[in-house]
Amino acid sequence: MDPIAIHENYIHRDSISSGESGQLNRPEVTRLAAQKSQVSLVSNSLVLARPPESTSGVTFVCSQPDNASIAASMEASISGTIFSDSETAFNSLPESLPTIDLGFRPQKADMNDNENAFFVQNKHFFILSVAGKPIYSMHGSDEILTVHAGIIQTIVSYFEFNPDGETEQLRTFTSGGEQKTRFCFLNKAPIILMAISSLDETELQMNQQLDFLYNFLLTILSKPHIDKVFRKRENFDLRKLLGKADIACLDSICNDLANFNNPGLIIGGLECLRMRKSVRRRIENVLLAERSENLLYALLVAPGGRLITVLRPRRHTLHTSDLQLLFSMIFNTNTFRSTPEENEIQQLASNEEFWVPVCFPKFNPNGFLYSFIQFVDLKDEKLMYLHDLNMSALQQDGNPDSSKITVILVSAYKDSFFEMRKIATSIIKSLKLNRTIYRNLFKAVVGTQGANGETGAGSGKVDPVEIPAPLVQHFVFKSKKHTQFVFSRLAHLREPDENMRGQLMMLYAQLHSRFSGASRITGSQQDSDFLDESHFINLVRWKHHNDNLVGFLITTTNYELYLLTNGGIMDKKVLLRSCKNIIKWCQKNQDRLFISGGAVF
Amino acid sequence: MTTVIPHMDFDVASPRLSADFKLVLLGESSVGKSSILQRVQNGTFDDTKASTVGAAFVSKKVSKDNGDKMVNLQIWDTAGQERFHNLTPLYYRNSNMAFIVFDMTSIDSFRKAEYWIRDLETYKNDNNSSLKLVLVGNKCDLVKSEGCAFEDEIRQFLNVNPEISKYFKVSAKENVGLAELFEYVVDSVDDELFHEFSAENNGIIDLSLKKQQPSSCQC
Repeated sequence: MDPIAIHENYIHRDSISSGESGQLNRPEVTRLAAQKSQVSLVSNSLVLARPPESTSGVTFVCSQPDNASIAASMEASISGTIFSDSETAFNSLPESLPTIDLGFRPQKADMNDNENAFFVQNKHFFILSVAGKPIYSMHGSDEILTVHAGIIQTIVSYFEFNPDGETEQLRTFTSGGEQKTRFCFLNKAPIILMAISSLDETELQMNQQLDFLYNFLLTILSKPHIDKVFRKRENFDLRKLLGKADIACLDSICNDLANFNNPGLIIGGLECLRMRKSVRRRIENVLLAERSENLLYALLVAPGGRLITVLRPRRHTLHTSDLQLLFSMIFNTNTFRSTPEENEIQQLASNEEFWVPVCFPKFNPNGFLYSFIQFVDLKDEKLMYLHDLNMSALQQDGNPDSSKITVILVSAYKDSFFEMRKIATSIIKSLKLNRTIYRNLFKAVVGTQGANGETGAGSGKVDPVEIPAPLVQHFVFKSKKHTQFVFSRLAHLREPDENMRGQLMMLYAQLHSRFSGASRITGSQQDSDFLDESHFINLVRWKHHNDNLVGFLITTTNYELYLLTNGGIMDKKVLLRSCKNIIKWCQKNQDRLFISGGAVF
Repeated sequence: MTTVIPHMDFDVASPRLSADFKLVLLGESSVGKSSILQRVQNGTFDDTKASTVGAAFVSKKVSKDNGDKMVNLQIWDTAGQERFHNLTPLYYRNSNMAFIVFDMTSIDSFRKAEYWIRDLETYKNDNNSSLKLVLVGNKCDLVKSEGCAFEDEIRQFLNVNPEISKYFKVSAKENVGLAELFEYVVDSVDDELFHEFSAENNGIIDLSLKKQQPSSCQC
C-alpha cells in the first residue's frame, strides 16, 4: 500500500478518535512538517482514493488545432471576399439541430455520509474557520466535513508560517495524472475556503468562485458580525448562525458553480431583459416619479435574474457581484416561494412582501441595507383584458415563475418598510396601468402573439437565427463597458435545459480560462469594432463520441464574443460572416440589450 | 369538530365598518410560523420550505358580523433565527396581537417562548401598549392526544404569566385549530378600532380558509 495513503488515513483516524473537531495535535503537525515535500501528496491521496472509473464525466479530446494558423486563415478571408457570399447560398446551408452531448452531467450538493460517493465528486467546496471548525461543505455529511476541515486547516496553517518568521498563503496546487485535480485556497481569516476541481478550471476561476462564496457569507452576516463572534471565541461554530435557508442558498450557489449554471459568474456580468430603449426609459421615469427620500436603489428584475432597469443615486453605482449575490439569495432557494394551491408546485410568493437585511460587500461590507422584495405576476386576467392581450397565454403551463417580475427596493433604514411598500405599490400600479409599458413587458417576458393566435416566445431573448448568424448554435456577447451580456437562445428558439445550459457554459468557461486572460490585440491599439487582421481569434474544438463542437472567443477592448458551432460543418467564410453579423447586431442594438446607467437621481 | 369560520365565508361587496389589525408571529426557528401563515393564506403546507430570511408581510381581509364589518389583518411573519432578533422590535411595534409560537415536540422551543414574553412585556410597559399575547403550540399532530411531553410545564407557565390571553394547540400540517385561532383573532378586534369603510379599500376577496378537512386530532 502506498505509504502516503496510510499517512492520510492516519490523520483521518486520529481526528475522529480524538473528537477534536479535526484539530490535529502538535506531534502530527510536526510529523507533517518533517515531510514537507510530501504535504501535497497527503492531499493527493484524497484524490487517489477515487475509484478509477470515476473520473469526471467529461472527457474532452481537446485537439486544439494550431490556433494561429486558423486565425490566420480566417484573417485572410476577411481581407478577401467575405461579403461576396450570396444570401441564397447562406440560406441553403442545412441547419441541423443536434442534441449535443459532451458527457456533461449536473451534480448536486449532498449530505451523503458515504466516503466513496464523496471522493467520486469532481467538484468540492469547503468552508471552515481558521481554528479548523467546519462551517460548510458542498458534498458529504457533517462527519466527513469535520475530518476534512481538520486536514484543510492543517495544510493551510502549515504553509502559513515560514521558519524565517514571514507569513505566506498557500494558494493552489494540483495533483493527479491524466485527470488533473486542482486545489485552491482562500484565507479570509477568520474564514478559510477551499475548492477542489477536476473540471480543468484555472486558479483564477476557482479563486473567483471562492470569493463569491465568501461574499455570500458577508451578505447574510456582514464582516463585523463574523469578526465579532470569532473574536469572542476563536472556536466559535458559525453554523449556529446559519439557518436552513442559508445552507440551501450555499448549496445552490455551489451547484451553480459546479454545473456552470450561472453565466454571469463565469463571464462576469449581468444579463438584461431585451426591450426597446423608449420603453425602458418610460419605466425609469416611473421609478423616478415614485421615489421617496429613504429609497437608495430600486431594481426591476425579469425571470432568470435579467435586469429590466435600476434606479440609483448619482454618487453610487451598483456593483455586479452585489447584485449577483442578491439574486442568488432571492431566486435560488424556496425562502421566497410558497405553494399557492394544493397540488401546485412551489413558486415565488406573489401574495407576500418581504423585508430582508442584506449586506452588499462591494457597497459596504460593514453594514446592512434593507431590501423590500415583491413578486408581480404579469399573467393577470384583468390586465390582459384591459390591454387587449391574447388570453390564450393564461392557459400555458410550464414554470409559473416565468411570468413574474421582481420589484426590489433597497433602503439604508431598517424601519422604512412601509415607506418602501408604498413606493412599490405605486410603481406596480403604474407599470400595470400604463398600456405601453405593460404590453412591452408582457411581450418581452411572456411572449408575443402570432397572427394565427399562437403565442410566440418572449422577445426578451435573442435567437442566433434572427440575426442572422448561420452555423452559430449559441452565443454570448459581453459588453465590457456595461459589464452586461447577452445570452442567446439555442438556434431556432430552443431554450436550453439545465443540462444543455451547463454544457454550454462549461465550454465557455474553458474558452474564458484559456484565452480571456491572455487575449492579445496585436497591431493598432485603437479598438475597431469589427473583426480585422488585428484580432486574434481563439478556437477550441471538442470531441465526445460522435459529437463535435467548435467554440470561439473573440476579445477586444470593448466586447467579448463567445460562440459555439457544430464541428462538422466548417465553412469559414460563412462562420466569419456570422461572427460579424452578431457583433454588428449587438452593437446596433446595444440600447435595447444593455442598461446604460439606469434611472439616476 | 368544525373548522369552518362562518364570518370568513361571506363575500361582501362593501362592509359598513373596517379596521386594521396588526398581528406578529414570534418564536424560535423551525417551529412553523411561516407554515401557519401559509396554511391560513393559501390553504397549503410545504415541509421542504427553507427558513424565513428577515420577515414576510401579509395582508389579509376578513369579514365579520355577516359582512357588516371588515378586518384588514396585517401579519408579520418573522425569522426565528437569532441573527434577526435585533430587528424583531420593528415588527411588534404598534402590533395589536402577538402569537408566540413553539413546537410541541421541542421543549427548547417552548422555553424560548419565555424570552419573547419578557421582551414583549418590557415593550408593553415602556410604551403603554395594549398588545395581546397568544401562546400557540404548533405540530400538535405529532404529539399524543393527552398532550405533549411537557404539558405540565406549559400549564404552570400559563399560571405565572397571566398576560397570555389564550393558549392554542394547532397543526399547520393537518390544518387543526387554526380556524379557532383566527376566529379568536378576529373576535379580539376592539370595536373602537373600527371606522367608516372607505371606498379605496374596495375589492374584498373571499379569503376563507380553503379545503378544510375534518380533523382527527384530539388536542
